[in-house]
Amino acid sequence: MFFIATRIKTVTVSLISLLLISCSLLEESSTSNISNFNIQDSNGRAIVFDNHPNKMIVYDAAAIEILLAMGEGDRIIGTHQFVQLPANSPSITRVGDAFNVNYEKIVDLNPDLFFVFYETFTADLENLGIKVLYLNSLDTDLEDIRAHIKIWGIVTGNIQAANNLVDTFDNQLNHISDQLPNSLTKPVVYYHTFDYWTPGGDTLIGSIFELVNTNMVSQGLSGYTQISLEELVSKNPDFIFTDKWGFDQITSENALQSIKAIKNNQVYVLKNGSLSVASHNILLTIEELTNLIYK
Amino acid sequence: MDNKSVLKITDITCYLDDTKVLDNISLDIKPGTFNGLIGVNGSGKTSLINTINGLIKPAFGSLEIDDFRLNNYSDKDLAKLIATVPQNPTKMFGFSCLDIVLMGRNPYLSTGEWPSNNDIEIANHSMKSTGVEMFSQRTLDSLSGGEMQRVFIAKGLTQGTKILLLDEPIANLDLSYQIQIMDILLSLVKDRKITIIAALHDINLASLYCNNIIVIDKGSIVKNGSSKEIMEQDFIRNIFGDRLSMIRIPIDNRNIIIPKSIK
Amino acid sequence: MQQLNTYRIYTLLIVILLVSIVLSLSIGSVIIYPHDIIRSLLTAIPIFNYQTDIPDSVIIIINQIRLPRILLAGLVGFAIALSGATFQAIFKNPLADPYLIGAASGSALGATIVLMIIGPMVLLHISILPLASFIGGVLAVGVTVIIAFSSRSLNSNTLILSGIAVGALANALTSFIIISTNPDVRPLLGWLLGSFNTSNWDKVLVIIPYLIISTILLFNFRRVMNIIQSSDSEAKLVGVDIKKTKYILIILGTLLTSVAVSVSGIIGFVGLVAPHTVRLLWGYDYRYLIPFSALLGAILLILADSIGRTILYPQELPVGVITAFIGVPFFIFLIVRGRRTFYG
Repeated sequence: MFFIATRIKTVTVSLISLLLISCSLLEESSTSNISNFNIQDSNGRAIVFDNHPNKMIVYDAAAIEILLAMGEGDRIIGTHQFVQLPANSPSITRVGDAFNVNYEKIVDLNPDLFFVFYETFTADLENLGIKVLYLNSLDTDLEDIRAHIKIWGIVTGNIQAANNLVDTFDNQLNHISDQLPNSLTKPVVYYHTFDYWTPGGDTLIGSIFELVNTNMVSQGLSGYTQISLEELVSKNPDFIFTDKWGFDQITSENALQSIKAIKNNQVYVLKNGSLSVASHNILLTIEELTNLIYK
Repeated sequence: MDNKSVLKITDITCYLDDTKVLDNISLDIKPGTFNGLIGVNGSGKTSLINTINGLIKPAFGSLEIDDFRLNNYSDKDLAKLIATVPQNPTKMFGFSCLDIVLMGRNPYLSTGEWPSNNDIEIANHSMKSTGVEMFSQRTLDSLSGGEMQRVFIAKGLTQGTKILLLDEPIANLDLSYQIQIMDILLSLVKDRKITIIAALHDINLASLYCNNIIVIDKGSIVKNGSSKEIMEQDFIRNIFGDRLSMIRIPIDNRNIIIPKSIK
Repeated sequence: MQQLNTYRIYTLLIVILLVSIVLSLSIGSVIIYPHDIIRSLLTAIPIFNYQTDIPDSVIIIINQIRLPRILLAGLVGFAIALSGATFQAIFKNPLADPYLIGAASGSALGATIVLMIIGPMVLLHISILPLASFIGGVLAVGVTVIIAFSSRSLNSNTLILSGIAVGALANALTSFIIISTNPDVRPLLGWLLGSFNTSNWDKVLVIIPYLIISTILLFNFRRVMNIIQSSDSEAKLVGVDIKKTKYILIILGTLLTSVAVSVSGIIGFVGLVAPHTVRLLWGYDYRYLIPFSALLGAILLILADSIGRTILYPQELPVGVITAFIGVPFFIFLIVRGRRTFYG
């Protein structure tokens, strides 16, 4: 249940140490001539690279999006089943789903790096002689997304593209933030998933809603928890955002018909990007959110 | 005198798994008799009892009560004709003796029905007949072996049947309790006019109490007759071998079997 | 065994049940006192045309959130405890549980299949789920019985063994469906953990008819349930149709389990704790074991759910976690105390 993990921010620690390492290695070069570098994974181990990997299995939708945006898509030779690729991109071999990988297929593809954001397969893959980079990104915030992009810059050697992507990200983010109205009363929002599981204030979704100047009903909760209907009634959110699985449930619940969001038809399924993929594309979703809330 | 059979067993052959346990058995049981079924372990006593009461379906042959074929009866109706006290009745935990005896009234009750006062009367009466009416509210585990056995006999009586089958009713009891129960069974035959078939291992007791003794061996009837006919020198030596001798008790005018002295 | 004053016990249990209901109605995000509870309830009955100045939110909380939830918890607890007692009668084992012959797992599988195929739209067609659950439960139990029966006897051990196998298979299939259909398993989490968070009046109304029928029929079988505690042959010898009786009891027990699973997922321990407690207090006679277990089950689950929804407010702790917290120490206590409560 990797979407409902707990909130250990090891990635922040590891990313900070990564940045320290990379800062000491880099000197204003647009492409890195340094192909010897270490990256500290989320277990604190240093993963040694002596070249830039060309055949990577990237088991993470966010990382795929980042690499494609950086133009480094050619290095990807495999990913997992539920990654959705943009319309005109070439297909990528699928080597498994959330709970199982096809080890034979992986060995057959002979990757020089397997990137993953949770630990289930790391030991087995390493036993098969595959280099694994494990960076826990189950609960990232926006700062982590930036660091994530920069890591790929180092790994691929294409620091320029990474920096460009980060700059674009920052610019667009600032643009969005500037456009936010200054109001003393923040709109109240609820993010609904099936059976009233909702992300707490310390999740990525939580940080996004904070960024767009709203108060989440589940602000005080940590991680993913089930919330009480009474709390929804009493907090009376102005907006409800959900996914396709939750829409029917939340709109048809008799007890909640008096909530402002439902009475005023402010229940939305987000169309652009996804609030659960921690890549630069999250901006699309943030933009959609601000449009819906502050139109 | 019209001495019609109450139970007619004709050419019964039975198999358990692939073993033949009863071989061409025929019996004519007269009403109001105390029948003792004698045989060693594995001779077929239990199989015969379980065939009569319908637990085992015979491969060949027929059983009739009062001229009606037994295989036409439902379990419930059969239970109104034949009651069985099995060899090791389940000692049900947590139920009072009265509760257990009342289970014998099941054939007369529909599924959702609880025993009426009449049923309770009948149960009490049965418990009186076997001398356990004072244990009505006690649980089985507080009773001795003999007392428990009498409770189960009372349960069988409560079924109100013509025929009562008992499988080794006195096997594990002290001699005084053995006699006590045999006395009770005899009085049931005399007072209630029921027919009893009891598998017994003690031929002396059987010959003392029973009108009729059926000797069974390896699934076949070896001999069937009165105690006098059975307790006969040559026959006994055939069955029991040379380690036993038969002696005569002049006072009672009957024979008993005792082990021969050790040389 | 001592004569029970059964009227007193019925009264005691019903009073505790009512107190639990009132208590549960009053706690939550806000404490609502009995006089406001009654006023809220009255506004819901159109005949009275009751007017009051209690805030709307209070009325909604009582009538739309707490009341259906508490009733559902009570009805489900009633059903599960009743089902547990029934299976214990069939298997002559106080540790028998609807899980043991695959009933609960099969029900969950049935509901999972329907949910995954039709999708959350099924919420609007709530009446499908109990049916799907029941079909799943009956199929699972049917397979169990067929396997056991092919060993020529419908005795306890073979039933339990094949039930464990079938249950394991159903669990594996359920997991497989969840994994292959959707990477985001959250939609199905409710089933696995058992929860009353999404209770509503539809669910309550859906299970009531099944509950009424099963309860009435089971009540009729209490005397026969006592008789089959001896042995199959002894029961047959007093005229009980063992096969028919066991089939009917299995079907009724499975129906109760699957209806419960379809509205609230798999909730453990209640089916064991309630009948066991009744045995400890009031004996083994199914005449009383059946109704007392059912009432106690309702009470337990109402209280467990109330704890689950208030202890970490506004976060909901699934009721299955609470019942495990109650159930595990209970069983440790039983084990330590000794085996005197078992048969024989």
